[in-house]
Amino acid sequence: MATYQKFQQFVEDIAEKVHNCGSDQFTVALCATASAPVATNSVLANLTEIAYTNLSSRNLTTSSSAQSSGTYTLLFSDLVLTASGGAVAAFQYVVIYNNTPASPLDPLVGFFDYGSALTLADGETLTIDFTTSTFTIA
Amino acid sequence: MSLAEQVSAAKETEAKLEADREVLWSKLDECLKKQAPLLKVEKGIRDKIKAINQQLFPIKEAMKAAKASA
Repeated sequence: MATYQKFQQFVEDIAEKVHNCGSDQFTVALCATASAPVATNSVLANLTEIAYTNLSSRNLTTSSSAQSSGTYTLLFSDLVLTASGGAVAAFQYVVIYNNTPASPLDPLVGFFDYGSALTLADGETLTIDFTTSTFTIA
Repeated sequence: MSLAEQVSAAKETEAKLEADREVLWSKLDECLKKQAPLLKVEKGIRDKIKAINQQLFPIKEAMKAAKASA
């Protein structure tokens, strides 16, 4: 299972009204092994993304944004990335960022490290399964 | 500078900073009031997005289940 790591700036952005997790458009960005994100990155411009040629949509759908007994949970629907028309460039990191805010532009949320490079050949898929929560705030 | 003078200078700085902050809070308040009509539109749009997300969720879950059982 890939390990999830949050970007440090995200917690401040949550507290200072940068994100509206219930309705903003969250998207994933992919980074190669040589371009590893670090926890101190704050916006998408800090990262080097792979070329997305032949890759399906990277947009996430928020399936649940609510609190229960004082614990807020954000959950995204699973995202299936599909290579179509050819292979997709190799990547190791799947980064979640918020595509809606204009200032700061594209603030980062967190990322998954698969531990080694992945390559999707034409017709192959990768499912990003968010299980029961993407993150919680308690 | 004596301790009394340092305290006096600190109080002066504190008063100035608090006055500056009052001015900025006032400007922020004006700014937010001007944005209010747009914020109302934004809220309406966001509510519609949330409603669509809620409709999409069971569809995506059903597709996931279908794929898993295929």
